Amino acid sequence: MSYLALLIQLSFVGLGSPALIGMMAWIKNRLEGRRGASVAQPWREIRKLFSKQIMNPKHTGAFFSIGPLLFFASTAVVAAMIPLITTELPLHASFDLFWVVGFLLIGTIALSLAGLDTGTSFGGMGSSRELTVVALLEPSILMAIYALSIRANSSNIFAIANATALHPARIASPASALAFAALVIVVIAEAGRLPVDNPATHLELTMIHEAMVLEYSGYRLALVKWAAAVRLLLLLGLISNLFLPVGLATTNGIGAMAIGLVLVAAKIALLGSLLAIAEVFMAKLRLFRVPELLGGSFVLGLLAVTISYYLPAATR
Amino acid sequence: MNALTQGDVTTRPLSGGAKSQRWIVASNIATLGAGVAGVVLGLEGLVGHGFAFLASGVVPPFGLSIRTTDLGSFFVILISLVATCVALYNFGYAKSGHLSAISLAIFPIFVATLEIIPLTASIPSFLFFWELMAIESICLVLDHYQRERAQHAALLYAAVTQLGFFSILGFFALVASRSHGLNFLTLQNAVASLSPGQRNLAFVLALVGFGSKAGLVPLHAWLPKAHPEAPAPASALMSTAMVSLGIFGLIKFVVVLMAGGPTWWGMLLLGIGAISSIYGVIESSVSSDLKVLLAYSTTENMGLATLALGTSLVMTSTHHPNLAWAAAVATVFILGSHAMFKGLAFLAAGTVGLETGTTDLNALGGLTRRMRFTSGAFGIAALSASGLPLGAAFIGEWILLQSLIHLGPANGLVALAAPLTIGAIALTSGIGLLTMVKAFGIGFLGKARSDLGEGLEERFGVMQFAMSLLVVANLAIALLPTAFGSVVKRVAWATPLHSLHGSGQGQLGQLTVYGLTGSIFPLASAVLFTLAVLATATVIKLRKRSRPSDADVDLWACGARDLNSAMQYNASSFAEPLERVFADVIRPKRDVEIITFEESRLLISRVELRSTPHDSIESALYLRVWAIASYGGRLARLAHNGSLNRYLAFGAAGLLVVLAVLH
Repeated sequence: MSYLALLIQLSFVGLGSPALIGMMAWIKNRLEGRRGASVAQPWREIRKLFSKQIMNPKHTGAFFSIGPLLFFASTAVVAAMIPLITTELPLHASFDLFWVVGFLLIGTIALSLAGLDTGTSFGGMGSSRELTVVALLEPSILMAIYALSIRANSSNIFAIANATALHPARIASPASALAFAALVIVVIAEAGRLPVDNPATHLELTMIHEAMVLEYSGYRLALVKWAAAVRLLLLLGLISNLFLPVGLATTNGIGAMAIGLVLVAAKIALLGSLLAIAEVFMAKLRLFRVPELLGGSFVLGLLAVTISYYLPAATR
Repeated sequence: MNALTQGDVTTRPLSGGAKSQRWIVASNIATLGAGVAGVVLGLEGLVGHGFAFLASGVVPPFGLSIRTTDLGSFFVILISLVATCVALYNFGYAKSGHLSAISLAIFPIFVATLEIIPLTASIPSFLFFWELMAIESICLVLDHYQRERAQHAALLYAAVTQLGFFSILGFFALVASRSHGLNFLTLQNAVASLSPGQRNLAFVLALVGFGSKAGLVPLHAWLPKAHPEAPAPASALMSTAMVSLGIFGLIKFVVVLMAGGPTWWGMLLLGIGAISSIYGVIESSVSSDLKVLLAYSTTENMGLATLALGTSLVMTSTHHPNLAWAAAVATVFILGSHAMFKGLAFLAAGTVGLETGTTDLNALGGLTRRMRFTSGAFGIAALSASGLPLGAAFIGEWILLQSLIHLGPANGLVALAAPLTIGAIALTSGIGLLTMVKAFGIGFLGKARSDLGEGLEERFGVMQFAMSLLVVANLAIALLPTAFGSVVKRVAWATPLHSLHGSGQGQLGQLTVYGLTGSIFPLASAVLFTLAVLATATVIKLRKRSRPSDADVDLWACGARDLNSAMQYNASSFAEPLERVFADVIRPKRDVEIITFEESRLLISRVELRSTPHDSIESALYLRVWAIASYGGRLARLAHNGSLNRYLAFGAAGLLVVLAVLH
């Protein structure tokens, strides 16, 4: 039964993620006074790219060809490790938050190496910047995980979600609010959204993610785009179920899972819309201002942890 | 093969002639023998009955005293595993004439010395071999003794190692002052009668002495100087086995012999470990020589091990036995995985140096096509070192994080130290990720950044075999950490609250830490990941018919033509954003000079960039100490004016002082 749940989750993530991107693009377009393409547009684009010709740049190495594959596969594995619909996924006892976040990084690293393997300055630039952000993001991520794990006395994702579901009063506590703020910044940086990176730029000297994947075409580009969409959905899903696990099924009943599916889709759509609306009013930060933002996230996480230690258990 | 000797005429390699070939084979067989014997002895000590004896003829007049302990046997196994691979590797490395006769002679004795140290059971035996190890390693650094940099590195290393030795000597003098014997077991009983002040002084002396060997900040500066000078297999041994003995010394004498101490001991270790790991990784990330990068990464990893050791001590003194135990287990895992991946990385760097004649990342690139096995081996080493899941270093770091996040409600300094420690670990692993991507991505991927000569395609020889053994070891730690559980349990010094029976092991390969909730299952994730890659690749392959065949195009160059390999990002530019962020820590020395045409100031003819790599702590601290010491030397010289009468007066005054003190 838990394998059925896994199948449902994977299909939801795979099919829903292009729609999420499409919805966010539509909202942004509307707010900027344009009509906006259909929500299903990214979905069509990915399908189209899969049957297009591969333009193979000369002198690129083997890592360039397998990079998108590793990026996609690692994202798919992470999609099987996160409680989106139900807490009863196979092997859920071993899905530690440190492990899952690290696994997301495997994909990032695969793309960075692929960028370096093109032997152009664009690829190197993208991968250098991406890794600078990742290096400085790491303390914020771990601090946010630490803050979350104190409640559950474990860093297992499922244990954290369960602990929040069991004690709903803790959702609105100072520590929780601080940890939430810290994690939002982490998610924005990790997903490469404004103000850290602008996914809409192409061929600009400010780009990070797009610089790494500049040389890709055909199914390779499709894999990169799809996996990037999935990662955004997973991160939004993670944040909503870690802080507000309303509807998260604790059994594998069909009814419970249906409720879980609808509610998590609603929560992700809400978070995605908020993100899209916020992005309309925001400009990209200079690369050398990003450390300040990430430092802020680290301090928020640190405060969340220390508050958890110093305030009595009932209020944290 | 484009040999190192082409650009380096001062080297006198031992090559040609049947006699020297026999000499090489004899040395390597002796090293291999020492390595294998070490594995056997270590296993006998750890899983067999163990042994103890006193060989009265060896270290006169005290005799060589040997006794196996679980901790010592673990280090012997660790050292001899690396030594065995290095010995095998040397069969290929020495054949190309890159090891001097002195190095060849020293290799087997060096390995034997390293293996004896963890087994010694009395002060004279320990000190004798400790000093022997220092002398041998100095000789290895001086492999190319005509080079000025090698002489400088050896001098600095000798100075630091002697400072450490005197510190250790002082430690033993203090600890043995109340003891009736020089045996470690007798010593253990006598330590309890020391006053707190004496114990604290002894701890600081041990920290300086063993910390200098482990390359902890600020006594780390010899590492990045010595490693590029020593031959790669010697670097592999020194950077894994020898520096680990520094941590061994801290565990053996501070934790076991002195049975720990007040909380500030642990806090100091934790602080020095955190500073060493962060400073080491930042310097590592901006280095552009592969061997310097790996040397700084050693400081980083020894810092992490010290941090874990400090955590264990803090948790013990604040009465969290389960957490102390977890941190102790983490220390053992960090040391074990570091030895395996750093040994592998140095051996791969050695092969690169052999094949291309350089280890400068700004000259390398595009090696994956030419050196498949070495690139793969370095890739595995980099993955293991980067602290990513599916890499060996992740295991130790994860266990350490588990120990810290389970602290629960605490107060005082500990409640603040735990999150800051996690921040330090996270920053280290984040920058470590960048460093390893840089080492592998710049060094091996892309296009060659200089003329590296035409090499033949790499064949699988004895050097590649030696590296593949280490690859297996790395993957084993990363994917099946539970296989080492029973060994690590016996080596970790702290004892958990309850006995170890019934600690849930879960399925094969599922890692749980005793007494703590949470687990990881690396093997399952690796299988899932492989399946996902294969499935995606298959789907794409099946759909190949439905799309037009691939076309070759030029790389995107913004409309320009003739992209050359110098336009790629290189090691310096890759780390430049990080260098800017941490400019206050590393204080880069960089001059940009813009030379314009005389006719017009607005037209630039040339831009010159000069960048001098330097170690900011070395520049700030060592040079000042050196200046003070020279000033003292000048003052002392005033007293020595050559007058015999004055010297006689000094002698008489000295005698009077001695008599006065003794009465």
